[in-house]
Amino acid sequence: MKNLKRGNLLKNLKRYLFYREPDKWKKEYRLYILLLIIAVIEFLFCFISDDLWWIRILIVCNLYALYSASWDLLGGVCGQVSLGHALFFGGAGYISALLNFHYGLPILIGILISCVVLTAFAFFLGLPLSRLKGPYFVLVTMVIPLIIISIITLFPLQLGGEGGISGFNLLAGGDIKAAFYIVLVVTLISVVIILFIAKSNLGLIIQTIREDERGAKSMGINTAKYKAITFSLSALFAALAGALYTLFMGTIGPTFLLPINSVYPIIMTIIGGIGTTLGPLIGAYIIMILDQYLQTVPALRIVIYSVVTILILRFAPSGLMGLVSRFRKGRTA
Amino acid sequence: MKILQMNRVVKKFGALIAVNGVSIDLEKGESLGIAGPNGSGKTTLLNLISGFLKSDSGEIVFNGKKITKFTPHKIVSLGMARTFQIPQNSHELTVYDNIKLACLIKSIEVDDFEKKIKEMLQFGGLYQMRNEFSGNLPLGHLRRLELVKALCTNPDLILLDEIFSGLSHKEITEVMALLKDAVKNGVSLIIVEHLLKVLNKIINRLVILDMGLKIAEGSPEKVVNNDQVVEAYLGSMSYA
Repeated sequence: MKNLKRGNLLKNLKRYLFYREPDKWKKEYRLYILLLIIAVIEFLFCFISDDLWWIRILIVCNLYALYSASWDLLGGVCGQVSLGHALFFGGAGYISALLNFHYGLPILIGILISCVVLTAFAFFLGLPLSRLKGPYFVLVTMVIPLIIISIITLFPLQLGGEGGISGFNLLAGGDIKAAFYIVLVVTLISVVIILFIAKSNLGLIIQTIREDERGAKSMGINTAKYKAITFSLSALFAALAGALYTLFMGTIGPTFLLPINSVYPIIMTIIGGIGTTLGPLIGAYIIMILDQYLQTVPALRIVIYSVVTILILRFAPSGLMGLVSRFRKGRTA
Repeated sequence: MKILQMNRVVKKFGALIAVNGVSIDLEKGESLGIAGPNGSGKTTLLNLISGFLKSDSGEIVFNGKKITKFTPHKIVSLGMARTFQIPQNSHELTVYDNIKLACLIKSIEVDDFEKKIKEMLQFGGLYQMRNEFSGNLPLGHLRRLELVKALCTNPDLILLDEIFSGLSHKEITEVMALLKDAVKNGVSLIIVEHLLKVLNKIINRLVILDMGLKIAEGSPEKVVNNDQVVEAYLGSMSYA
């Protein structure tokens, strides 16, 4: 309990989140400026253009960017490959949609409740899961959303069954431009927070757990605790993305929880660069824009993505971000 | 004052008894060497003390606390550090970050971080290569990094697993200098090592293990001439 004292809390926040060496901060703050520039460009595009088709695509891109950045925090920075992240994405969608559909709660409250519930759920799920290694962790995370799907199909009246639910209130009342601004701001803030965590001392601890768990333990790091914390942080942002996505689309069904939806952020992260936080954003934009053009051939889509992923893993295992840093190193050398 | 007491500690892996009722006491400030042929249970013993393995029976008391069932990170927080036979550094982290990690956990004030890390980097002779990825370091530097990391957690006792193996003569001298500094500051050591010649320069007492049993204990000169020890290393004299 002594850790909960206010002075200690502030000290711990500084110790694990806010502490930066001046020379590291000099490199880091450029990344935030880069993110801000991208956001401003998107804002201007939406402000000037009336092309609702592209604005719609940008909304989807931004939400999937947040979704894959959240996966990257767990799978890339911490090295815990989750094949069931759709649990948080779709789960949050279901909770926020159902709260509005059945009880008429405002969607803002629905989003907040779904985030809190799934973060807490992820923390308590993460504690036992943190003892599992490699394929066992992957298998368990993959199975949990499938269990939820069968529960949903068991209760067609309450949970919508296989047909899913629609007819709940939309984000910003269905105004696409307003929805775009909301999504842009939420995504920007969330991605900045994820990047800030990844670059902090907490991020350093998480990274060490990926690199070498035994060494981390021998330095007095409670690896189980930090794995669970990472799991719940990752779940929080995936849930946020999922809730906004559902409320924007106006429909949700069991397909949200299918393994394919868990694989999407992984493909995006691999294309962009694992463990880089910015890479997954690039990957998300590429895949989601391709997705719009390939909508006429849905079966072929996943084949193309898989081939691209395999090629990237073979020829540029650190993704597009890896290529960028290789290019920059080559120039300075 | 006793810093570590092991009482009849047993660890079995299936039918194999890796550590068979070993009892070892360690005074504060003392350096103890543990030697023995391959597979005699030395590393298992260190894993038991540092909590990476749980003993089947017996008890381990550290600084007056029974730590037999404690997890590794909790044991570190009580003041025991260890190094590994294969250096366990995060290869994709810089030397600086590696040392910062070790400083994060213990009660070092945040504002003192930079000073403390710089001090420890200089102490280990690693300041020049602080921005180097630890995966690129030669073995001698890696071992020093491991030792400095262990010292960052302000330990009363450090367990060293074959810290000299594979090092050149010069590297051994460098690591030895760090160890002697640590001993001067009142840190107790338990060193598992094959190189008895090197070991004798730093330890007060030597324990020989064979097949999980403690077969000899005492001052290094005495133990080396013990018949049972000679037999464990060279085979029974009667066949010679």
